[in-house]
Amino acid sequence: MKRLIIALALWPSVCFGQNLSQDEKEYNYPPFRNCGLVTRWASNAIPPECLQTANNVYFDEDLSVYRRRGYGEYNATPCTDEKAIKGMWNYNAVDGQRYIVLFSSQSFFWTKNQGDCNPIVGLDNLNASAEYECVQTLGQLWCVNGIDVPFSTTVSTFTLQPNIPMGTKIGTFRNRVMVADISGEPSRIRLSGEGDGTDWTLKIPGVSTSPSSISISGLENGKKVIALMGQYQNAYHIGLEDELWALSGNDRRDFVLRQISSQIGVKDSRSVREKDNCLVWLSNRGIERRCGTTTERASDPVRTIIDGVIRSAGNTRSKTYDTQAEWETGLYQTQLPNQGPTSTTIYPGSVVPSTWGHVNTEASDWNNGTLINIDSTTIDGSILIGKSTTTSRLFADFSYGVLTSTWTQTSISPFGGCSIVSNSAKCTYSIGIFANIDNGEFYGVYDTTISWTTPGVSFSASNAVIRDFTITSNSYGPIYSLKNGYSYSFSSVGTSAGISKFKNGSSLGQTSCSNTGLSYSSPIYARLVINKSGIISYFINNTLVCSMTDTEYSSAPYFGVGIGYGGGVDTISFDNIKFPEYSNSSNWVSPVFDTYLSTPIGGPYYFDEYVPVGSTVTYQVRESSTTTLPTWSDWVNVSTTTSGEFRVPLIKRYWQEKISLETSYSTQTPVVNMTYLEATTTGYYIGDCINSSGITSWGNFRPNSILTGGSNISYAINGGSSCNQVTRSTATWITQNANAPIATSTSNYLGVRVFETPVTTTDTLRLDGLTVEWNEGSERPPVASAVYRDRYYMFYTTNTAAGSVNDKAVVLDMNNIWSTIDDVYAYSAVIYDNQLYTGDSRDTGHMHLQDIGIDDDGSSFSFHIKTSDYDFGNPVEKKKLKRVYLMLKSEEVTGQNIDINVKYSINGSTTQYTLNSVDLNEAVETGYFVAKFPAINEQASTFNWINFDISYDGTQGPINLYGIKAIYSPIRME
Amino acid sequence: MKMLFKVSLLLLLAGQASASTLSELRADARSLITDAHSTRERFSDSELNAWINEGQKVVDVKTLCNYKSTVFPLVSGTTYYSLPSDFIYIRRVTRDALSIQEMTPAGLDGRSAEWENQSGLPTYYFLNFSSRTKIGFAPFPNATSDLATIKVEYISQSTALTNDTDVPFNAISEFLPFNYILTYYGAYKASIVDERYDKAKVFLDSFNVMSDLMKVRCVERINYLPSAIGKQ
Repeated sequence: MKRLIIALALWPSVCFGQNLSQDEKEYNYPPFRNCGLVTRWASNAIPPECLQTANNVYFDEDLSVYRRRGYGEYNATPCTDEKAIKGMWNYNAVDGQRYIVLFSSQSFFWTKNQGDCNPIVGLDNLNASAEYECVQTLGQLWCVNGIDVPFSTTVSTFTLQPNIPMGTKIGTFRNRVMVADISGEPSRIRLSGEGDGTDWTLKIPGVSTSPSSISISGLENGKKVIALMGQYQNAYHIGLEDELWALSGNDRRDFVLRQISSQIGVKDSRSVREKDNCLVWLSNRGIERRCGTTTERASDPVRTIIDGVIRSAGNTRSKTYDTQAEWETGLYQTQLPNQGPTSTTIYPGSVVPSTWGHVNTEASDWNNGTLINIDSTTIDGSILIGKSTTTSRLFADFSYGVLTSTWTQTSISPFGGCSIVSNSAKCTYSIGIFANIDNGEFYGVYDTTISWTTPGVSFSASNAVIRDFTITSNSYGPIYSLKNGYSYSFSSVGTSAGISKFKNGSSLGQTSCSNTGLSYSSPIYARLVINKSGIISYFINNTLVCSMTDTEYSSAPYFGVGIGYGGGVDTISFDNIKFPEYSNSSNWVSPVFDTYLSTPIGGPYYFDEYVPVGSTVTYQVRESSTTTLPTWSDWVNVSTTTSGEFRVPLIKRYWQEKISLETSYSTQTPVVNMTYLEATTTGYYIGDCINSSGITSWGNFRPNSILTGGSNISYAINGGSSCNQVTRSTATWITQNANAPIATSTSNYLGVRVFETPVTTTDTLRLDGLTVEWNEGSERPPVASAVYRDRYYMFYTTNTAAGSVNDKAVVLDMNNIWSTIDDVYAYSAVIYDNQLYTGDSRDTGHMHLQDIGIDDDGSSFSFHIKTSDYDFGNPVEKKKLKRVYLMLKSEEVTGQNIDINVKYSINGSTTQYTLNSVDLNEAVETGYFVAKFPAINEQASTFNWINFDISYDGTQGPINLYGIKAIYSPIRME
Repeated sequence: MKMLFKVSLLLLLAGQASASTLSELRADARSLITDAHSTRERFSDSELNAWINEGQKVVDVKTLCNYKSTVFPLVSGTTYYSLPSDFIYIRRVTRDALSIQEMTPAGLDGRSAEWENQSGLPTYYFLNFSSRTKIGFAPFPNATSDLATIKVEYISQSTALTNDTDVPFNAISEFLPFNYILTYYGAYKASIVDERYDKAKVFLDSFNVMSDLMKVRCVERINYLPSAIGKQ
């Protein structure tokens, strides 16, 4: 009772607290939201509104210092394999469904607000160590990792995209897919065709929608695209290590690449985000913020933290071979048993198997061979069956005389008013030649001039090629006399033509041909062909204009050729009608070709020929291992009807070629204009040694090759302590998969061996580039980032030990004030349905929904701030701490036990003195309250500078700290 | 003015007879110095305990209210005998129930220069100021016939308060109403530390007023009304 009354007596003191004594002073700390976390500068030099520590707090939540919310497990059942969630991307399907697409372990998954993790069928067995990048465009999600074949997916389906260059960065711009950090071309960006992510074939000159290829800094300057940062202010930003570029324009015609900065680049592609209309990313000098056209470093206040992130990124080194000079630093001209040399010159910039080829297309080519009944002069650069001078037919002066048994001159004497005048047949009416032939073709009336001077003359010819004449009349009068056979005719002006059958000299009618469309004021080349099947074909200028089938005169029909005069009297003349006669067969055998390849692989056999009906051309090759005592194989046919279709089946060094021409008609010959044969070989290449001194771990082995057909390139590596050791052909080579982590232990030198195995010479086999990557210095995992509630989060770790995971974050809040977060494990992050989701950086297979609850999936996390070492305006004055007040908000949930501990340190010392704690349930009424923390008398409390450390570590919340007031009394000046 | 009001109120409560334990005194002291929080205290319990015990000692020596006695036999050949550790002043000594007088060493010297070598039945006691923890007898007992039982009545120091349930002034019921004055001493000392001298003065004044009253009250005999009052 007495104590109660004493208490009552002291009520005013208890209720109204302490007034300041005469020598006490008070200091209200300014709102920390005005400065936030500052770790860069001396703790006693930063303003009092700045904090030395601000962990797991936000300043922009409700204008207090606010303990962040926790996170919860999103997917109760972990994604298959229970590994880290290494990638999370939004994908909005064309049907309106919104997904999160995930990459974990070796597979892609999807989820859609159901707390599950569903595999995307078929997207498994992918490289587990590479980092995927994906971007949504053209209705699909497009993904690359620089190792596996790029693909696009709609979640329900996926499509491999082998045409996409093998890059590690992907973006989208102007309805195109964009890829960068392409193997062998690290500073080049490639864009697909507009609206078509599968179109990557470069076209010159191309059109506006054609794919584009833009080199930013050339190939050999050590620069590399680190990030396709995204489109910002109508330009696509591209970050190199220390450079920033912007691609603008609308299509291929006006794409323009401009350099934004030659100093600021991008350190980590996954750090790039747009926040409040500013681009934010991690560069080599800190976290940058680019607003409009101004880039400023936003992370100066937390430089000590960010520097750690930058330094722990390690240094990825690489050696790239993609120029002729680089390739030629290696061994390419030597060969092993069954492994031929490679060439760096056939396709400059690439290593390809050595090849050999030979073309016969000049007269000299043919003449170098053995010609048997071959004519290599009549047609320049071609060969044909040689003519027999004894059997060729020449109607000259129409007085040739009696033909051989093959040819029968039936009416050569002038008739119908014709006469031989001055070695020409001159007719006033008509003239004709009739001959019979067993099958064949009349053609080849060379050097013949037919001319007339009187209009109204028509011409009728059979079985002959007429050229170099002019017709000006349309009258018609075929010449035949009591003969059985066929003739063709055309009328002048070319309006009609036809094939006629006549019997006993009388026409049985004419098969009309299509309008020839010819004006006979121009020379024509007419041809009539009859074969043993009775098909009579009529060609004008090598175009079939009509045909007729008749077998009645299958043997020795007469064919007439002549010109006729339709009326009047005039002179028509022609001369030198030749009916050449060719030998039945001939052949050409090439000289011996040296392929210079010990193990050649035959390529396709190309030819260019003219083979009339009844003729054949046969191509053959053979081989030998030596020329000193050649042991030739049998001739092997390489003929088909299609040039290039047949592959030369030879595997020995020396080759020889044989061409056989045959004809069944003495009047015709096949013609061979060109042949080409080629050989290639397996390629063997050993690069110069890669000096990887200082290596801490190997990266990826990234060749850039083009292979078609069954061609193959195999790779092998070996590591060692010297160049000589690793480049010897006898080294212990280990098979190395393309686009895969280098599969050997770390070493100061690495040797690379390449075996190129073409199947044929037509299959493309090119090693265009090879990049070997390794890490110098230890390396942390990549950062992750997100912008959520106008805050930029960058999740990171500075731990470079094996197995380290992101476990912290820095936050740039809506007022661009910094704080940190710990105990948050995020390998990836994405905003979905206006909430922040993170992929666990630990091997759990879980996603986390952030900013919910008051604990981290049941675990505690801390709330911690520490003020500057403040001198209250006079650093030389000794002061004595009396007490401290915190303005707080009481607990929201009854029964919580949130003890906030308050400590202080004097003069920057690391020794902390406690002021004990306040439980948020102390408030008399739920709401705001003030907690007093007297300086404990037994502790040191005299200071020049003092900081206050306020913390809570537990699973409860929220915590709102609205202000701090310190009471002290000055003692004396030093 | 406010403080005076509080003190006045406390004075009115002085007659309330209920024991105050150490923890209660400490809590009251905290209330006086606005340090009454369960977890955040400027002064530790040990500090306040020390100050409260200090106040008790001050009261003890100021009021001389706390009497105690001790009995021990004389030992042949022994002049000096230890006094209890809580001894402050000797108030009365008897030898086999007969009062003997105190004489200072100087007085004994005046009577005989060799008094320290003289044995016999003790007739005086003295306190050696070089060793206040000892009581001496002259002459000193030597023969069996010199031996007797000595009883010393003395002003004692109250037992120090160490446990939170300890009650000041040896829990003597007569002094219970004055227990609380130790609160003021503790508050006074805390205010001095805090350089709150205005408060310290108020607390010290209250302490002095009440300790003075205790000194009066502890020897006051309400029913003893002699016509003449001699020196006590």
